[in-house]
Amino acid sequence: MIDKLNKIGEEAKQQISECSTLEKLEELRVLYLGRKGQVTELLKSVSSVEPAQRPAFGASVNRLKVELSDLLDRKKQNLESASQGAARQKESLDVSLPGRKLLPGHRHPLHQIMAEMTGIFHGLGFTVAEGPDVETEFNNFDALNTPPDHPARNSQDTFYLKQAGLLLRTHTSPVQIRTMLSQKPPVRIIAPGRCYRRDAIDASHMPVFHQIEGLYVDKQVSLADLKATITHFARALLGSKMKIRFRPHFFPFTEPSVEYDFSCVFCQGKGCRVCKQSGWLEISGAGMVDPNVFNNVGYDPEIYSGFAWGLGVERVAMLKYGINDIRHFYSGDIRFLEQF
Amino acid sequence: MKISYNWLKEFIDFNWSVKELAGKLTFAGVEIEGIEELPSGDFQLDLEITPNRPDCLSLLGLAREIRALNGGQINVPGCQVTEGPQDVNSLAKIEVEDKQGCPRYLARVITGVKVAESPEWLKKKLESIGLRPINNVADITNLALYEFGHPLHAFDLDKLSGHKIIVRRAKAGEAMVTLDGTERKLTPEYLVIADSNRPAAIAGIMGGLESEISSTTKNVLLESAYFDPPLIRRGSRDLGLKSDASYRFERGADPNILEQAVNRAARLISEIAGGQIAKGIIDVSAKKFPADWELKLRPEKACSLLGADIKPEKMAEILNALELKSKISGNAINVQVPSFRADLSREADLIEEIGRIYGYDNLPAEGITPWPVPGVQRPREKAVEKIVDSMVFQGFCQHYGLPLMDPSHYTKLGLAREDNLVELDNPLSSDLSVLRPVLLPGLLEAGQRNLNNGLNRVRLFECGLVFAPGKPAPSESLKLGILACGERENQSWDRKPGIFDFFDLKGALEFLFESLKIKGVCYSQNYKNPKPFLHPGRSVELLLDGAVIGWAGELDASVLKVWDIKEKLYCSELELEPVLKLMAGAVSQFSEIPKFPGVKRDLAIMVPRPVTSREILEAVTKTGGAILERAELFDLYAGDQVEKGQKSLAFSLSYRHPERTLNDAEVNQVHQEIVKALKDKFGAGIR
Repeated sequence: MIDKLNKIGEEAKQQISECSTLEKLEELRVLYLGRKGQVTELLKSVSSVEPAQRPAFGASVNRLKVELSDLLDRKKQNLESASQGAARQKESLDVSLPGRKLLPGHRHPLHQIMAEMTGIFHGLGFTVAEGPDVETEFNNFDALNTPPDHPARNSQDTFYLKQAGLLLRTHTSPVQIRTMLSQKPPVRIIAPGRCYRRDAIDASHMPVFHQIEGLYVDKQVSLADLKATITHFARALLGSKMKIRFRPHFFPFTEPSVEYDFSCVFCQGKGCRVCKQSGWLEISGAGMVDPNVFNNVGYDPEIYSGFAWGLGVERVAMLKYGINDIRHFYSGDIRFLEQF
Repeated sequence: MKISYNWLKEFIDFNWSVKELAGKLTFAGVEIEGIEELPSGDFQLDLEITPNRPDCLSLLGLAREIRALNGGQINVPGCQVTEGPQDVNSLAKIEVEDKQGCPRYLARVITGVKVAESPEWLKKKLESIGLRPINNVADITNLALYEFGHPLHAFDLDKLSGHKIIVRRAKAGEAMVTLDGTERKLTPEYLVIADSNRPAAIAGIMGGLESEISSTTKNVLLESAYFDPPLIRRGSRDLGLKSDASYRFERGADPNILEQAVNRAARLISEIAGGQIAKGIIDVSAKKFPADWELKLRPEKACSLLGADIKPEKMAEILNALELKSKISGNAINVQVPSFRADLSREADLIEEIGRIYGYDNLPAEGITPWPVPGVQRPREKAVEKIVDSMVFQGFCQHYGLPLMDPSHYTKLGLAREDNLVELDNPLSSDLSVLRPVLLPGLLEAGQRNLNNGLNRVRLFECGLVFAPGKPAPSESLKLGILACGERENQSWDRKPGIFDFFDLKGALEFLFESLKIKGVCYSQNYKNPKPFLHPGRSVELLLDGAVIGWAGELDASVLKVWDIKEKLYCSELELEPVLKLMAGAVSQFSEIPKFPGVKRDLAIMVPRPVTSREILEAVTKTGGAILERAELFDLYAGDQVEKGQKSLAFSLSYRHPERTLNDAEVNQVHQEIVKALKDKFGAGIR
């Protein structure tokens, strides 16, 4: 019986190792390990073995059964992975073909930069205030200490409506007036918005443009606070190495008044074509709220002080994104818009 | 204003290079816009003086600035005159009719002058600041102007009829030829210097050709006057005529420098052109201007406003160097402001003087006072941002159009030009002359531009203001405009893109409202306000809570033709104010995720063609009741395979009970009720 066992074992191992298909392998499993398989039959024939040798014989048959079962499983795995490999081979792609993309929309660059600027000022406690595009002469000029014969008020520079006393605001500063007339100090607001000036259209002028106005009124607000605020803003928007500087200037609605410059974003202040070798870029105007403006809105300049600044959004966007013509912003040209 | 570096040095000595000088002055508020090296080795500086500082429009004024920054001594040019015996009043008469327009008028007369070319040194000086030498008398008045900042005018006394000057308003119909050779028509708006017959100069702006100093001039009348700044400003603007004189008078000259200036010029004329200065000055002054006024400065206030710790002694030093005599007295500084600094009338003005000379660079720039309340996005901003988000997400590019519109665009949309346009009084041009009442024209222009650029896919939107006439001011409201045409999705190597159509537009709007969590928007073909520019069968009006909030659809072929557009265009325009109102402060609310399984059933029916899918869906939803979770159309067929006049629709219905598993029997019951309802209502046959 032992010989028979050994012979079956040899044959089975031989056949399993030579088997090349999964179907064949299953037949072999049935042939040897099936209910009527040769190994199963051996186990059943244990009664024909001498009683003393039965335990040893039984153990040998079981060992063979386990051994063949393992061999079959391993072979099956081998055959399966081989056939899968072939199938995968057939399914393979030219992965160098371009992928299919969604077509995303794009936020307007002015919208993006205004959101960014607004976010920076949110962080400093400023909240957005709004005013209409059509303003009264009072809010746009008189209340801002700009007398009737001031050159800015003439019809060469300012759009007037046919409806008397109304104009298209020339700056976002009237929002200061609206805000101060409607609330008591302290005030910390920014006013992003559209402005209008009677400039003919060219690469650096549009009759419509955007500003962000800021106003902070409280007790003990100083020019140094303004400098700190603008410094923080410049660094948050354009990088931590930014520097700012003030040049004295004149505006009717601030005293003292300054113009402020940013260190050149293109050459890091070293001097280049864009900054005309000066290392600085003129940005906009700012200053301490003129006492006359406070008087016009009923704030006591003896108790309160405040600073205000303006900023041309297009100018900063052009610097930040390297745009060379302001007209792009209003063209609706998708080839422009999709770059942002 | 142009000045010369070397000439400035004659007024005050300093050891700055021209570049250093430019930097120092710019950061004190006197901006140097340009530096040009002259062949002589001198430098010409181009200055941009702010309108509040007419005192800086002279070398003397600039020397004061330099003294404040750098110390030193100012050399004031000599003004002493040696007068002859002849009384000036016997040579000329001055009469001032308009005392408000001309509160001070001084004149000197120099007799027996010899008009000739100026000496070299004088010509060089004028050339160094870009002026063309004319003759010795005219050149001297220019020299004195740049030295003291006060405009003077020299008349040929013998050309003044009656040797008389009358300062008056021009008479209607009067005219004169100014020095530039142009004939000027005058009106009573202008102040003129006339002789006994006619105008000889436009006061403070430009002299007349006729009374000009010429080679034959023997006797000169030198005018040194003070004119009302607004009057000169208006005159100069209306005439379109600017001069060195008008530039200074309109900003405000020093009313108390008149004698000094006229003496300086008279002295130089007698020195250079010979002649004798007549005895005395004719002074017709209706008003006496104070030589100075007193202001009080609190150093504490200055420190608090500037945010810097500056000692009172330093403040007084700065002010004194600016010729503002200052004395510390207790907690304040008493400051005497001279009349050439008319811009200084308040404490805040003095604080600016201290700040700019102290140097804004020396102010601290770190640390911002904390604010007790965080800055936050307000509900309206958030809502607008969500709308922009939704459109960008759907592949639309955001457009910023001009709120200024061409009114003819209104008629180009087939709209009658009504009185509903807000008109500008002084537009730049006719194509930017009204405030837009709609966004569509701007989007159409942009769309057209993109198509002309060869793009085969255009998706644009604008969130922008529109205007309507109103009182006391026009109303402004936010609108959303959408424009789309061309390919629906991205082209790829194995797929042909579809073409955008009405249902893409409607889908974009449905998506928008879903993402904004706004329910109940109704798309109606029963127009309350028909739009002539829309295809009547391929457009809808949008209603929210029964009110029209906008329209959407395919542009009518007639409009496309007018705009010369070949492609089919889909547009929409929505009022955002009602939408923003609904969105304000709204927060998404969680609803329980279903725990029990749902049952899906399809329903295919045949109905007469005029029955709309919305009618059917409404009937389905109503009959389905609480357990009908959702009903969606998934197929529509109206071709040859169905009976003529009929169409086939297939719906997918989802049933679900929130608290238990539904059994077949109850689903079947509801489903049959729906079938019956559709049969009763529309004569629907089941397929």
